[in-house]
Amino acid sequence: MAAIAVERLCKTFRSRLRPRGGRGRLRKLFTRPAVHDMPAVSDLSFEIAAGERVAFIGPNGAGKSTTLKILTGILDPTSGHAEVAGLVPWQRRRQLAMHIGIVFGQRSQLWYHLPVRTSLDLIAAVYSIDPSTYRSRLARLVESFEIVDLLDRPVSQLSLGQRVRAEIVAALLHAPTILLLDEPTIGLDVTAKAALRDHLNALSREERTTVLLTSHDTGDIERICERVILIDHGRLLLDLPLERLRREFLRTRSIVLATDEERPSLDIAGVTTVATEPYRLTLAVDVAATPIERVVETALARLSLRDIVIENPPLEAVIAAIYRGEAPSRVPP
Amino acid sequence: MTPSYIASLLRLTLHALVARPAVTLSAAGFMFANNLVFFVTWAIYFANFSALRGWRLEDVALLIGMVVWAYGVAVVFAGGVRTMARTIVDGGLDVHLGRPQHPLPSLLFGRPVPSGLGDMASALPFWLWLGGRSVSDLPLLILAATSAAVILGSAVAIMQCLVFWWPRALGFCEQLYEMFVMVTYYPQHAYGFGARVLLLTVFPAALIGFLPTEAVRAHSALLVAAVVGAAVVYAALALLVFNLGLRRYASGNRFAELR
Amino acid sequence: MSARSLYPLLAYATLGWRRAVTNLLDLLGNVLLYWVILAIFWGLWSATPLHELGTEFTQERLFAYLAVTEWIAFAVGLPYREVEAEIQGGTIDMRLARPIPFGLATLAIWVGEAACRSVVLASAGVGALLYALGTIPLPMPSGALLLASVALSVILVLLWHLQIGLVAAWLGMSAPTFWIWQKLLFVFGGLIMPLTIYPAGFGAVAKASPFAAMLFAPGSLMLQDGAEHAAWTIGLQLAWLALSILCAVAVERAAVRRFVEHGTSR
Repeated sequence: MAAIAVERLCKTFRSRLRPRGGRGRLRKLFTRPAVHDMPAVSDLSFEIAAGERVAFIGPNGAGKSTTLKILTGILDPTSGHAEVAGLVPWQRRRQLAMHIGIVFGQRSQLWYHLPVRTSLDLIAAVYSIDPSTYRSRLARLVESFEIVDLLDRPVSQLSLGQRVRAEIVAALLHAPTILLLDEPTIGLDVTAKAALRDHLNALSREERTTVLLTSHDTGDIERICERVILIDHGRLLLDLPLERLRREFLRTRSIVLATDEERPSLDIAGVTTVATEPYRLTLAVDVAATPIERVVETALARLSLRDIVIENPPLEAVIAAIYRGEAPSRVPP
Repeated sequence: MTPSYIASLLRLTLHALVARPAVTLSAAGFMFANNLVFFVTWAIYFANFSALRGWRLEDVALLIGMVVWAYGVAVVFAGGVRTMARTIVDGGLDVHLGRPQHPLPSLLFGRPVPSGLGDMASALPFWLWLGGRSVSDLPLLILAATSAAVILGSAVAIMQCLVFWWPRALGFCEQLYEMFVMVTYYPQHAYGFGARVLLLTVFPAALIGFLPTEAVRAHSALLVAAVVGAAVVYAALALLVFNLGLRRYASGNRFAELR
Repeated sequence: MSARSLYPLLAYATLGWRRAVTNLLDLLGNVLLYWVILAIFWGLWSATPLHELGTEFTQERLFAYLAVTEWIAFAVGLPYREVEAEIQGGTIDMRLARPIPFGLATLAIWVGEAACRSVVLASAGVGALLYALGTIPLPMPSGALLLASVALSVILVLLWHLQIGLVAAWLGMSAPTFWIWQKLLFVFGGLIMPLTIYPAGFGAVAKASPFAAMLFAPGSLMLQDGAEHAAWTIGLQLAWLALSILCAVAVERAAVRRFVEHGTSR
């Protein structure tokens, strides 16, 4: 049985049109406003097997969060069908809650002014976790996510990265079989992002938790997931294994070199110079043809480097490449 | 603080009010009804008792009109004063300090509270209908009540500035503000001498309610001058306290004491 | 409802209590405000020609009445704002996706918080009464009935706060509704003056409203002696409590229905 099955899911929001100008606004007070139907999810179908880790990606307004909300049962679809852990979310929201863990990027489930432990105690009670299970589970999670020292600190005193780690521990406390993460790394710095990815990766592999993750960051996708579902305007655009996405769309890395040389240049096979500025060189590396390590080694050997930055292609660039038709539109997983 | 800068901030305030007319009108309407319901308590009081130290129902109506006008003007034209302490503690002053103007005007203006219009509108029926005043009294009423608004805004600003020195007192400052506004709504002449002195000085609720009301009741130029004078003094005091506090803010107290 | 199903609610209530303890400074601010109000009315009642009302109402009894009604008002606080903020900020998502109904969980937190605030405010009220009157003028055979009546009032008011907070699901904000409701509570509930001194017709309407069960009912225990009156008071409160629970359940269900149909983030 699939952990998550979505079939021809649609969600259309109805909004009132805002009239322009003072007179129009005044008129709005006395007349029935015009309405506008806005499809957020259109005819979306996919299946996720138990234990799979899937990235659910797309630009802003693509319908990712809407789909995630439908899958948690807090939003009804307009039509279509879905099952999560064998339950129809919008019919069995509370039962479903026992099987899923949710982290909504910047929405906290922890109580701001209280110590982390107080929130976790409450969550344990809410999910009816018996005390001995709670103790062992908590011990394991706080160790995995390295929040032992944070337990007795008020949430208000945590950094964003620490808070997100505590949020994920809270979401995993009742040992859900499915973890839904909506932009979990948003706003985190590079180190915090890396730490969080490692923790999540290790735990979900170990416990065979099904993960559905939305993110703007191609790094999250590469580190955590094994499959990618891309949607745009509420429609499925692409559904393929990460390996294939990596091969076809994430094969380019951008390297920015800050140098002591005023006019730096570097000729390596498979590397394209994107921009040359005084004391600065930007390269695009096809990692399938030339490993990053080789480029860095060559740069260190030939140039006097002050700084080096390696960047993933932004999601927008990946999506733009897909739109340009640089890959087949749909590949079965 | 050039006049054109102040004018553009006031324009922004007005734009903010008309941007969502339904919200503004409904909030104003709600506040109007709110004030009327409050008045009912006094109507019940005076249905049982002949007078309160010489004041009758119409005098209380006059006082409520005075206070709602003062409160309305303060929150419409200086809406930021209500949340000033929180802005200071949250580091929100940074935005204002980054501009080439004194931070106080932009901190105060531009965040109008729509329900304040309802308060201002309430004042007229309180004065002219329930308070039994004539239209010819309006200039005097508006002068006295607008001065009271300046006193209210300034006094609240001074209270909120406490967080410059005592950042942890944010909740206390917010409560002090609520307490102050509440005290202004009750006739302050009913209390003993000591309380009245307090209410005319450090906790100047009587300068907002009692004194302007007495000035109109007695048609006393001296009392009107006293209210206007108090407005000038309090505004200057508020500016002084804010500037002193600003030095502490610039010295980074937020980070030292909150974190 | 089994004992096991009460466990999460108890946990929510404990969290509410802890939250009130954490916000002790705010609570002390409330105590100060409570004292200021009592002082205002001590002054007002002493300046009022109470003899015009007859001998039944003394300054002391009216003061004690106010101490009880304000105790309830302050113990509750303004929790509707929490629900309003959660709806406006979209954070209600997290609460909806829990195995405990949103309304029940919210009420449990508020009850815990109000319980803590009640204890502190009760001490402040007793202190004020002892300072002003030198005694606690409790004409009841015991204070236990007063405590029960106050507890019922607090829960009753909290049920309405929940409904008012949820109004934001439709209007986008709850504050205007709250301010009107609060003023109705103050007037029809007899926050400042007991309903027995209201003009006859007005008083009858006020006594028939749910607001009377929230403030006047427990306050009246400071004015009127006798077990019969106490029983009537508690009975009236229980009846309104049952009705308010039905209303709250209906409003919560309608609001959740709206969230799941239209989404929560605005």
